[in-house]
Amino acid sequence: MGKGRVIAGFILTIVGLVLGLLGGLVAIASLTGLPVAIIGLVLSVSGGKAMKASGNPAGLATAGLVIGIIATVITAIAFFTCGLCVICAAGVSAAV
Amino acid sequence: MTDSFIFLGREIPLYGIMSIAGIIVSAVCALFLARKRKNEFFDLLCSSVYVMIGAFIGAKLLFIAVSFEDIIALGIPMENVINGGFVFYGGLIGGAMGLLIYIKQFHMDYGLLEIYSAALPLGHAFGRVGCFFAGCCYGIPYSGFPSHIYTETVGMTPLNVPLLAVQLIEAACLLVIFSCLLIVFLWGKKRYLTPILYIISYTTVRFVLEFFRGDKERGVYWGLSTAQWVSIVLFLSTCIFLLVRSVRNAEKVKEEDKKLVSDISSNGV
Repeated sequence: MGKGRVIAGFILTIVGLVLGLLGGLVAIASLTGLPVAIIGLVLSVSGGKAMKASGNPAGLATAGLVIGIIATVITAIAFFTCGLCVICAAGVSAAV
Repeated sequence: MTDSFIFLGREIPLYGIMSIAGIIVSAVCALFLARKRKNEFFDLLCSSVYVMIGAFIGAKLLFIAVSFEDIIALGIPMENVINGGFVFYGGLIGGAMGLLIYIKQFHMDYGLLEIYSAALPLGHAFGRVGCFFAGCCYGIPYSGFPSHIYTETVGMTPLNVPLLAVQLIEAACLLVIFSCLLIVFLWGKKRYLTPILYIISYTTVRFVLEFFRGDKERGVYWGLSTAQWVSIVLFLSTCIFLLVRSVRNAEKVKEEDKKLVSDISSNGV
């Protein structure tokens, strides 16, 4: 039980990681990589918990989680900018 | 001082690198602490997913809430609002909510709260160093030590003016908080003290340091900044929680004593 979700989650987190790394070359890749990685993470959590509850090993779920977290962090930080920078920059340009 | 470098043709901000470094070191620290309490690695990973999603949503929502008037007045496009703008306190509250949802949903031990609250200040310190490189969250004009002159940055950071390096001061305070929390976690006798000490110490530090922040464009209400108001609310909430908990514990001890006395009397001892 949960094996299908674990496999799907593992694949999605790898795809998210690849898209996140490709985001260095193609900006749209990091935009799509983030939601893919997050969906992969959710599936890995859900499937992994189900497998553990039924007494099966959750090694693949663990691997999916590790890859998904790395993918999410890389994609999010490369894509999103710092705190109030958006407001500050807009304020400066409005003043100018 | 440069605030970014080029990698694979993309400009990567040093703020981002320091954030990644902070996440890695606090993740390693959390793993170490989880092993000490015999928590499973898998459970820690699952909880971190909930914490990440909660932190993201919380940080973004609080950013939109405090900047709503500016977003409307300056006509900032939604895409830019989504791309940029996060508030630490929103992330802290959102992440804590995410963790509590995980604990409730899967009937886990509240000990996970201790692990996260001990490891968080370490990663946060790295993030503040990243703020120093980026030039955001800057301090008041000041020419003594420690201060720094920015010659190029983003936003409204004053250029060619010596500013107090309040970001580095906060990073140093966070490292002290982390050291103290680590000692309490590893050798403290009482459980669940770590998150309480973290909230009390960080809100106090943040409240004081806010007086030395120069970026007033974040919003000031009745003489205090948004972060100071949030610090007050969190500090008072924690104190009220402690008070209610100690009253309940005292009542529980009284009930147990009464039961013990009545057991002794009924047994004729």
